[in-house]
Amino acid sequence: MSAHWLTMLWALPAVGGLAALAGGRHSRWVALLVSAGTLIYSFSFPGGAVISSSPTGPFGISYSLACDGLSLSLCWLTAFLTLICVIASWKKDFTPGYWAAFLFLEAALLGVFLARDLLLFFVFWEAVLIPMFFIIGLWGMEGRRKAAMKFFLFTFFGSIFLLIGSIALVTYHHAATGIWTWDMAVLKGPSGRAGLAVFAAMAIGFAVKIPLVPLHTWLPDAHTEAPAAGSVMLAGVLLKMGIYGFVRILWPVFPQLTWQLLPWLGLAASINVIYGALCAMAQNDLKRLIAYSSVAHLGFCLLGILSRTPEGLLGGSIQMINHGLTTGTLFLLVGFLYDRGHRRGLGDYGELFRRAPWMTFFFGFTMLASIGLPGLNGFVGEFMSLLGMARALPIFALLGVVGVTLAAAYSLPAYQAVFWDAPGKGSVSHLVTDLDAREMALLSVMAGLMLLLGLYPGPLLRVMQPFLLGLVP
Amino acid sequence: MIQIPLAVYLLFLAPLTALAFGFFILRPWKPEWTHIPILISCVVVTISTAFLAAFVYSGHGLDGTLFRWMMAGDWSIVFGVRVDGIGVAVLSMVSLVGALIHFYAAGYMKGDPGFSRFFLFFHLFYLAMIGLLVSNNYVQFYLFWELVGACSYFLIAHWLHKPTARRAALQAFMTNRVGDFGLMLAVLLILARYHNTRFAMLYTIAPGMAPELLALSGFLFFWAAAAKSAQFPLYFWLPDAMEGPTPVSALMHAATMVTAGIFLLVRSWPLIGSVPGLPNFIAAVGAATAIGAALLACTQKDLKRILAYSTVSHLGLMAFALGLGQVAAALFHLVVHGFFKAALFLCAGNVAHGSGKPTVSVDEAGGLKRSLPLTYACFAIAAMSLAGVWPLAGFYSKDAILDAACERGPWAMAAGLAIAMGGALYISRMLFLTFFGPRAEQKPGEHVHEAPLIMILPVALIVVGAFSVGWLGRHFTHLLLSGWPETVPLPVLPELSAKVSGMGLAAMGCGVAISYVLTMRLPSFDWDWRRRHPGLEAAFACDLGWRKVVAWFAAVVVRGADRIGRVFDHEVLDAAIEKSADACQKLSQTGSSLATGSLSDSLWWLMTGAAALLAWAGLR
Repeated sequence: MSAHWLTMLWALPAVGGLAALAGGRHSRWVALLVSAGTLIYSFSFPGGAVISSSPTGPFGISYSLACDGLSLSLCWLTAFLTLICVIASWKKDFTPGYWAAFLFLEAALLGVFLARDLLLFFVFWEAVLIPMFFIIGLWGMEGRRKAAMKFFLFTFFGSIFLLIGSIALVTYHHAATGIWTWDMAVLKGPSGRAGLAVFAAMAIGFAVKIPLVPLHTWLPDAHTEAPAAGSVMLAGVLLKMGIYGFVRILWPVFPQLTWQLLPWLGLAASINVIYGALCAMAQNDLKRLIAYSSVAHLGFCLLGILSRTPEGLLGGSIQMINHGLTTGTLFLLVGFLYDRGHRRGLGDYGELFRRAPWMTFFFGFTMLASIGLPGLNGFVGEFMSLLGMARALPIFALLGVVGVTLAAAYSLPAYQAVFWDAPGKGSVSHLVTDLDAREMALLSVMAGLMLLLGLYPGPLLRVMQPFLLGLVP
Repeated sequence: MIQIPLAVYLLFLAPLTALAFGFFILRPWKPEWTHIPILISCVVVTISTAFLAAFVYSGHGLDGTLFRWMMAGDWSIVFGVRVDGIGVAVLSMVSLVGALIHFYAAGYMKGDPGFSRFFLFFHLFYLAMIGLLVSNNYVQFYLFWELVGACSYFLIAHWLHKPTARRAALQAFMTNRVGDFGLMLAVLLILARYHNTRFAMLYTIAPGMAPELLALSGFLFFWAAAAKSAQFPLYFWLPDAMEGPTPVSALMHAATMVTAGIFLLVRSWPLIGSVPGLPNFIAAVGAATAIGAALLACTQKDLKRILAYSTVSHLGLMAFALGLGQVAAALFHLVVHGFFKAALFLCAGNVAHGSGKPTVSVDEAGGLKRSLPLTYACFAIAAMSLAGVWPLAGFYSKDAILDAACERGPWAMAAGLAIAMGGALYISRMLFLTFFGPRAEQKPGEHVHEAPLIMILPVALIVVGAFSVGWLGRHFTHLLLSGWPETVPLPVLPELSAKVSGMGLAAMGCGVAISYVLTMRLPSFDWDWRRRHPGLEAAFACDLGWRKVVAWFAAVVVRGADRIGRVFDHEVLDAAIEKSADACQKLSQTGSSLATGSLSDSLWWLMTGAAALLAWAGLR
């Protein structure tokens, strides 16, 4: 395939973003058409590896993109969720900047998942921050300013480590082989102390994004203060960048080191699972609760990919997609709820099953998917990840299963408080109306996908498989 | 390629079609008709099951794959079916009793605002149990196992306006999740080691497994079964779960939910049975659960609560039988119990329905045999079956277990007789208190009326089963042994022996006599001891303290989560990180105050720096 086909995938939303900026009143139509077009276009790529690359420049830097099954499935997720976000914010009177920001965000995210050159990857990685910063800071909730700043500084702090690590990696590679290259597929990390330092720097960069406890404290604030669609993109796609970085870069570059560090990384991932669940249990704010549950779910992803067994790697990767769907849907639902009642507290609602039966249904359905009820999508990723870990280091699988148990302990009480329990004083339940047709359509699509991926994940697993199986030692 | 009979597909397709039709078409359009496709599906499932029972009885068996569910590399988890003696034996009871309860529910739930939601979840519950019984590997088994739990959650909480129902639902789901921990971990460990959880494969692998893995997974399976089948220490959710509508309790206690745990143990018996010491442990836990629950059942006042503790007691008896190695006897009792317990619950439902209340306590009953003659007749037969009166079904299944207990030794025999006596005691107490009298303390409602036909007929049919299923013992054994036999041969049902039967009947007679004296001769006894010993009543109300321990444990977890999530994470960790930003700002302010912009200041700094550099170079 020609080199430009891949470029078009990320350039399409980028150009669309510019058009949306200039579009004035029609910018949301631009956003809708461009995001739908990007989604359709992303389905035109075959599952196999497509590589496009330009001649190398100074220091081996090149503009090179590659698309294999893993990238492709994450691109689908990005394009799909962007379209969902555009439709979900349709009724609101946003300035052109809002619609443009989502398209720019999509472009940058697609770039991250497509880049094969490490420097290009870093450029896209940083570019993601900018639209997200504006989405939180301009269109967020009351505490948006502070949250946006915290998000930016925190993740920027991580990026510095990533940049230093990348430069060091390339330099060491040159010292060892005499070749300047930034190609992820070629780079090999140094051994010994130096390798550990480079690995640590890059891992910190990725860990902030995942986020790994204790580098997670930007996440609850950012998720809570972002507008609903912003939270969907944040939880649905942005967090996956960290896991993707681990799988795509650290695993092939440091094959031995990741194996040696398995106990430590596994411990960190298990802490994520349990700590995230315990924190979620203590929250009173729906968005904060879901945000902390993401910390736990991403812990499962990491547990899976750490095991470096076929089922673990595939499980961790499909868990990225599944978490994007379920948590994205949960944030959408909270957004719909917030549009009506303008509150997010568990105690601000009650007995919504009377006034909003469909909302109750979809929330319950998604919650069951999120706590890993088999038959829905959440289970597949969790189970395969834990299975991988059970083969590598069973003790962490045990901790993971504890996390599975705890998942019910934070989800169900919250669900009951909002949808079943009698409303307390000052409740805003009376403001809540049931979902309208547009919202129903969105949620039906999401719920259908959850069921489909829960019962028949085979095709998606087969798409992801080739690259991941190559990582098995 | 194995030929899969149509009946197997129908087991899944009929309920799925009915659910889809009910959910997408009838629920928005005619919610009060939701039960029609579902009842049709029940009939189809029951007929299919009858066919499958005949299929297995005539020596056929089936273990096949439907499709691949998850895969990675050369490894995959499949969706399959296994039709063998064990599965079909339980399936016959579950589908028949479950279908009759569906019909009953159509009458009982008529006019309920959540009628359509109720029937959809109810049927999904039924489907989940059927799927569980025909699963051919542990992961698929786990899917239906969890689905059973999730459906029970929504069904127990069906009357959402009742705070007790919501709390009971949460408690049931959480307890079951704690149990699922065991099942999931065991499945993961076996799968990680042997790359396969198909029962058929596992039975051949089991004898050669690493002893540690065998022991650990055996114990974890029992832990999971203890939650689902309400064994000590995880039994407490079951009595509370009676907050749901009565058909839910009947389905849950008789057919669909609590039997799943015993079934898991039976399925895994080639594995569990080969762990040294584990069967004895299971027998001991089962006996303790059975005796304790029988004792508590004698002290309860709510009709459904008495029956719920009775279920716990009978599940304990099944576990006891399993622990003695009597797989066939345990399964036989499971089937018989399904019949009489469903009948008892539905009769309790008729009493409640007749009194116009969701549930009735013995205080509001008494002398009901006059106003509810049909219900009384059904209840009496089912109660006699439970107590083990010859020649009703309960006699045969209990006798088989007693026989095994007597062979094992004096302790097992004593436990078996105590359970038999306890069962007779609480159920005849319930019978006497509810239908005889009324006593001075009881105030039955004014206009208690008999239930409509649709609620009597299913009960009567189930009672026929509770009466007569015991005579099918030999055919039951044949069913278990034919078809797709286990690699480890199952022990068959023992022949009746006069000595054991005599002892069993004597224990039963003792129990009935004691309850007769305490309820009919001393009519106020049940109220007197409560008045005189309030401390004793409080002790029984919290299950001799165990409920307090559980509540304390839950509170510790919640408080711990609060400490971590709100105090540590927010006020310590996040605050420290935000402080570091402040510190940076302070530093930069200090720094910027030095940058005054005046030329002379800058020159001074320049000279100081240059001097410092020179000094450093000089020192080197």
